[in-house]
Amino acid sequence: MGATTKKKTTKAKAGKKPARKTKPAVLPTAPVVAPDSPENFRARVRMYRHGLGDCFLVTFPRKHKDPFHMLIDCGALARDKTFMTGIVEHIRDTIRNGETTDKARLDVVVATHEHKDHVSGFNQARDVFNRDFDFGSVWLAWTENLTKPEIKKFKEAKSKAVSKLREALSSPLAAAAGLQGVEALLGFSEEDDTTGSGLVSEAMEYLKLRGKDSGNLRYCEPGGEPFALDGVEGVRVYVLGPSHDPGFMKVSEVTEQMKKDEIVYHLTATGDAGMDALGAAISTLAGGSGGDQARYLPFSSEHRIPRKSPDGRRRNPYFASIRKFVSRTYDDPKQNWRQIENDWLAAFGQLALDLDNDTNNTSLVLAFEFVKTGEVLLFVGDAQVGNWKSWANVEFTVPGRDKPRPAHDLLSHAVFYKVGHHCSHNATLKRGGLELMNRNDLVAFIPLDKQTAKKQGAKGWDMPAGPLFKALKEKTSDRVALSDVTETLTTNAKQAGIRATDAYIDYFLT
Amino acid sequence: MATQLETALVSEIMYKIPWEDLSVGPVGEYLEIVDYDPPSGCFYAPVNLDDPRVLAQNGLAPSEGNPQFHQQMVYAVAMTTIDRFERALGRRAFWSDRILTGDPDERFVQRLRIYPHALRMANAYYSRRKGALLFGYFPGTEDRTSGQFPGGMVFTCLSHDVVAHETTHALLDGFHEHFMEATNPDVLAFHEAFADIVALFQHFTFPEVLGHQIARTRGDLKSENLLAQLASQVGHARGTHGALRDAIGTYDNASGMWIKHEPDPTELDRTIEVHERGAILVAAVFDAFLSIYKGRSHDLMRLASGGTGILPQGELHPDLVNRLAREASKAAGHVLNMCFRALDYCPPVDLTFGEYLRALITADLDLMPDDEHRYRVAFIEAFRRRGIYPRDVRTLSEDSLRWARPGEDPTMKPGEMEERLRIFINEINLRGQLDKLRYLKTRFEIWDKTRFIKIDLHNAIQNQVIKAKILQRLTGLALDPFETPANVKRKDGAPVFSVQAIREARRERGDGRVLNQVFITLLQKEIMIQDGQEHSVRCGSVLVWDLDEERVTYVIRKGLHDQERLLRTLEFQERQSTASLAATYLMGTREPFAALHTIGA
Repeated sequence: MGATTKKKTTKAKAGKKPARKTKPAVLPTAPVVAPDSPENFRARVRMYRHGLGDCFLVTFPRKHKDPFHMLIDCGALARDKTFMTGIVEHIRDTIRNGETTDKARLDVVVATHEHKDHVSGFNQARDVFNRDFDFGSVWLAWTENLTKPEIKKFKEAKSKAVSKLREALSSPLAAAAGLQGVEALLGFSEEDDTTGSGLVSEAMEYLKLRGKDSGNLRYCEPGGEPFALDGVEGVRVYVLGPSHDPGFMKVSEVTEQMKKDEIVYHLTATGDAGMDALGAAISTLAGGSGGDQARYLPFSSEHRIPRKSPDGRRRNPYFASIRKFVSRTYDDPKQNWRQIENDWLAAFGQLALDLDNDTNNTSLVLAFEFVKTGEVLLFVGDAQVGNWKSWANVEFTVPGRDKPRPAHDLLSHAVFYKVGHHCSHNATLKRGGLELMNRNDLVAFIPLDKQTAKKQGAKGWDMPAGPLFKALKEKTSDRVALSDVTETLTTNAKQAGIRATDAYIDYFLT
Repeated sequence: MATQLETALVSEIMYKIPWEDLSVGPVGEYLEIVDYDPPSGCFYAPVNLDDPRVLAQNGLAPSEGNPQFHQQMVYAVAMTTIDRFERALGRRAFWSDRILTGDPDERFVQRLRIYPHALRMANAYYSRRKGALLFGYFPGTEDRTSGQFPGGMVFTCLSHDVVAHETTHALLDGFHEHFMEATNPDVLAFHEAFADIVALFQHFTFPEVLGHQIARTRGDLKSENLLAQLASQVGHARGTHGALRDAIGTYDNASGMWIKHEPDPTELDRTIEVHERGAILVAAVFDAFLSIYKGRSHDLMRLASGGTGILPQGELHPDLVNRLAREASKAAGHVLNMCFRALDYCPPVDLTFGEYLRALITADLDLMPDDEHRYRVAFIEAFRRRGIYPRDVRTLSEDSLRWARPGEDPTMKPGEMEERLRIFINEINLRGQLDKLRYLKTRFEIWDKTRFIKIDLHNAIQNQVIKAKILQRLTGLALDPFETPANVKRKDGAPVFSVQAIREARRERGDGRVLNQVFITLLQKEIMIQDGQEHSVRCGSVLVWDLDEERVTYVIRKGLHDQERLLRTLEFQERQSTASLAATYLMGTREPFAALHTIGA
């Protein structure tokens, strides 16, 4: 991360803020049933077109009963409260289907992982959820179960890192160092007043409470026996991830020693010393928490020779003694490519990436199988490579089969794939992933708002990643649907029965 | 280490560095130490090592609280490393060129810059983009049982191992600039391993430290010893143990005992993480060293034990300790030299551990035809036990591990190929060109002259199709302008290749004869079409030309011809997960080592 010019910084900032405000919050006015929808179907997957984030309503009709509704994630990166409330109201109306004003029942609510673009709606539209919704049960990944001490440790280390990181990045020095690209990453776990999304952890806490109230809070673990959905015939649910093996949750594999030392979290690999170092870095940033400055200075004051006097106005007379040396080396214009003014801040970038990756890898991965036909709907959250790789070792005990069923077998029967991480290139494994999805009626849904992705960071995010997007199109014979409102459905998608309105795109398994 | 009574004796080592004129900094021929501390917003006064008061006492006395001592320390360790590198290879060391379009003269980087206090974190790394080493400092752990001063400052620039490791990264990068391109799981791991090997064996060449260790371990270096604990102080301060120590042995936390790690030939297949994988290579070299040391010290042990081989109880006789230390330091020096020299014999791209073994064996066969102390056997054996084998080798014997000599071409008359090559080499006047290099004084002059020789050679190949064809047969590169391989896409039809390096090596062999070789490295970059997608692939081959015998002794090929290899590379790169989030969010990272190096992580 090199030095970015000041101009660029302000430009990026300037471009970001108004964008949030001026973005017209187009509330979905679309009917609750898309025109031209089939009368009968076995499952409907509705992807909302609400921005950069996931919000899926999955519906299974039941015999002599109201349909079974399942909400998988409800969040967006840059959408305000009014907008998200509108989305949640639309979900409510869809469930009520114009027939009743009773509480809308969500039989299952799933939060795949603790990121804003997946859960912000639970904060932003809390009122509607409280007033108008009845939760049947709440499913979370086992990594959210804070009653287990090792998970608590993991989360605490993470939140410590995030808060330190946020502190560091909020300082003017960080902006000057071209770290605004990193700042955007924190957006996933950020508290954001402008959109009223609150803390991501609060959204998770809320869901846990609702789950407990409903008497059915489930922390899902990979493998084991698939389970049924209440009253839905012939559908089995499989949990593929997140893996229990910490090795799969990291950017780089964990060392044996780390396992032995019970170091669950990557960051703590640097121990408290590492966190202290981060603290050290931050304490000197202008506007940082300061206080303990002296503890982090490497040498006593008589050794330090700043360019300016302590008040920062006058020249430092002691600097004169080394001026010749400095102008011959560090300040030499021919050598200025070797200056290191902001390099020490670059570590924050890596840290933010690691944090993001680690959280993405805790994504709850679900597969819904129609037992008779074998068709599979696959929802991977934002699982990164590590999570995908772990499925190779996941097996299920299926009633009526003598041999355990490997998770990869499910992939080969996928007819619907919710593309991971908004189609970034690292969130869909090719070998042992997409290559296994060989059905010729495969459909892929990508929740992605290109405008928002383009505005993130210094240069925008690479979403959808070109090669992956191309591969998806090939695999599905062009039956790929983006939630981006500027996109129109392809002919092949329409022919496959996919229906689109301004507010959502529906997939039907008939 | 300095404050542990037991090791207080060995915590000071005198570094002997070749004399050079130094200005304040110190700034010399190869290095410039610039002590700027951006997190603290200040400079520290540069040390003047030529000051008579400093000279008179062999440099500043060790003091952690004095930045000038830190400057002296990094300079001394880095210079020692450079000096060893140059002595082993018999030529001057160069830093990696600055990547620049425009005036080629500005690409030359004379001095590696060292910032001893650049980062406020447990990290130190080599930055090619800045031609610099950046060292960090951080408050140590608060855990009072760790033996460290709680919260005391830990300086990475004061650790011999860290400095030697980073300097080696820079040296290796200046030598093989494409060893940072991960085309298989071994490439980056090799970079790390090589840096560790140099740091480790350089450590072994200090007799003071060795003597102490040998006395402590009663001559058996296999048991726990400080030397194998690379970067011990840094690892200590962070409260974790590094991967390298794991490769040789580990602490059992429960019993507090040190347990030797038994080599497992399948471990390499399971280990992908760069540092862990690298550690396996280091452990293999370390094992080889141990058997060599054992072989060399056998007679001494027998003498000291009256022929029984079982040493009496109690401490060893100081004379015996000294003799053993000498053997160990000699063996370490030899191992280090072998490892350095093998660099000449490495393919310029896509190196694997197995190929490094081949390079080691070939280099040593060239130089030491008689393997009196069985060094090569020790290496082959140690690598075999760690499961490091080259592909495409029939047996693990010296002869089959040695790089292949170019075979006869069945489409030509016997001897014709060789003759054509000789004519080719004569036509480009290789000898005459190299002679001009011989008497140049400064490194810039050598660099500059070499640049022109490379250009001449490039033009000679490009402009004469027949020559290109001969080389194409030999190297596996696609140099023929009229013949584009099937799955390769070329912009204007011409092959894109460069003469990456010409290196002369004049070395004295073990039998007293002189070996006159020149290593010519050709590189090629092409666009390969695979599954409808375009991939940029890099190939390269080294021709080893014997100047006296006027013939090619080896061809080390990583050509376009080997489609299997290229497919492996593409597959590997696809699977690579590290840094790809950075690709999504930040459109790429620019400091590969910064991330790799957050120490121990």
